Amino acid sequence: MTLSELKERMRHFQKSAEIIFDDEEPIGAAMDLVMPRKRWFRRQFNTPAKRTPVPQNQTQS
Amino acid sequence: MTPTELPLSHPGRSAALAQSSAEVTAGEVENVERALIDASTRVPVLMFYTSAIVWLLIGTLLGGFTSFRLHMPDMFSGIAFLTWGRIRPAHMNVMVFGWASMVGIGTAIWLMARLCRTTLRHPLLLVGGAALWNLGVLLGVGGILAGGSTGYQWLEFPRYAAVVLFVAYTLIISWAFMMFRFRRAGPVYVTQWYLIAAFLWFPWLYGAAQVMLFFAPVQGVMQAAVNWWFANNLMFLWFGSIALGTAYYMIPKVIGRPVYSYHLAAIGFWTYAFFASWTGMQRQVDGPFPAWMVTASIAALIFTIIPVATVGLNHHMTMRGYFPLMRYSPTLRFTVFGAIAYTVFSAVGVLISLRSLARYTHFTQASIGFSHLGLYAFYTMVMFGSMYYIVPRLVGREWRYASLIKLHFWASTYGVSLMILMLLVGGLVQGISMDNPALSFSESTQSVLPYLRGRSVSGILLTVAHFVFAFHFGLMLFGLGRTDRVPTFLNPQQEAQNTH
Repeated sequence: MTLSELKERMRHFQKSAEIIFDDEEPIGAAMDLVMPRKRWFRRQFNTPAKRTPVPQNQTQS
Repeated sequence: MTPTELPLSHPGRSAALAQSSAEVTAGEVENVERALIDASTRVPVLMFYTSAIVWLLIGTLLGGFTSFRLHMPDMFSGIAFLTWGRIRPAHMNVMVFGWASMVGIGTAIWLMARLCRTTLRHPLLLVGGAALWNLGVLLGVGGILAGGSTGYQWLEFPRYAAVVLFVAYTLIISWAFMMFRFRRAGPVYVTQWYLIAAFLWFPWLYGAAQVMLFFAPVQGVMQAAVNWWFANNLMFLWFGSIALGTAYYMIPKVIGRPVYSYHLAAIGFWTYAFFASWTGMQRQVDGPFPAWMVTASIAALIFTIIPVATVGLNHHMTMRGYFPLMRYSPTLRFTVFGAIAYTVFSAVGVLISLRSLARYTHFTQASIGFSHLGLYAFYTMVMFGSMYYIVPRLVGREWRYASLIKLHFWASTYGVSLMILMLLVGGLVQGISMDNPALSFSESTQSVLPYLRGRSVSGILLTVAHFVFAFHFGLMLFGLGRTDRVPTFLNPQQEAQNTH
């Protein structure tokens, strides 16, 4: 096995770490940030967050 | 860093995707697949989770009672089934087989289904397995309280209960391998390695211990050797594997970043598998065993620093720059706490197994502190994190109260930290007192009393945490979670009402 083949194999192996992501839950998109920031003395923060993605057929009306 | 600085997936993304019909189709297919997979796991996973929480509450009350009896020995002293010798094994076995095993199997089912990308086949098999498992735990605890304990650590269930548990496990494991057999082609993720290994290790440990202690019992001190090999490896190979596998899924998924190094993950897994199974005999330091047996276990435990370091480094590097997100994600804060506790657990395990220190900590409260560090601070916290992630996907609702999540987290964190501190320090003080020839044994037990009272206080905190979590879970189960279409707890109207 050449060095380049070994490097390719290792790179391919590292790609396996990405199989838990897909188009709907992609790399780079944090999820489940559902806790609000602390509001000391009733201050308001604008805290965008990502809702837990509930599959469409489970979404309640 | 705040969430605003992070590349979140936002609603506008769907609109962008809509511009390409091909992408929309692929996304829709994935969504439907995911929905079908989650729907197929809903009943068995919720059954395992609900059962686990009921056992958690029972185990907590038994644990609190056990703790108070240590410094208030006359409490209910006239009632046979409430004597310390019965409620302590009942507490431990409820926690090990009722809570920890059931919640771990529930999480494993969901993770396997997601990672195999296939719907759960024959869910009734798992429902039957869960029902039988509950029956086994119920019979076992009843047997212990009735005075039928076997006397072996974590194997106190009478033989008839163990048989029921084994049959239940057979149903569960047959499902696990069926799922793996019909998985969609592709690489097997690190979480699956740990889960499949755990599903193979448990019957090996439990079966070997049952055979060697009850069906064809070994003689003399070898019984203690088998018992500690089982108890220690149940912690490492069964609970530890499930928790590590779960953490390897939850941390990257929540922060949206792949594991830092898949190669480190592989090294960590194989070194863990190789070295962890040799441990257990370090609990018998200075016991009537050949020295090499104990030394081999101590050496293996020291070598487990390799998987601990690789796993710790991998998680740390994955999380680097994303630690502030722990404020916003309940899953992340519980899982990261558990992952850190895993490192501490291993370090403490190595320290108290060294002969020079074991001289003082052996046969003291420090051993109990070590067990709580592994089973609670590490395993249970990771499981809580996984439940915060999985349950909303099963019931289609969001957790209702952020305040209850915070209360659960902080009560658990302070509770378990205080408990471990009290038990480890108290154990060391107890050991030093016992080693002092000028003190009588009763005086050495007196020295640990303040720490035992402190442990009871920490137990109250944990009790609060568990009942809060059970209440919150109950709300989800009975359809009282949030169903808003906007992010949980960030409903603008709700926010406005709270602010003004």
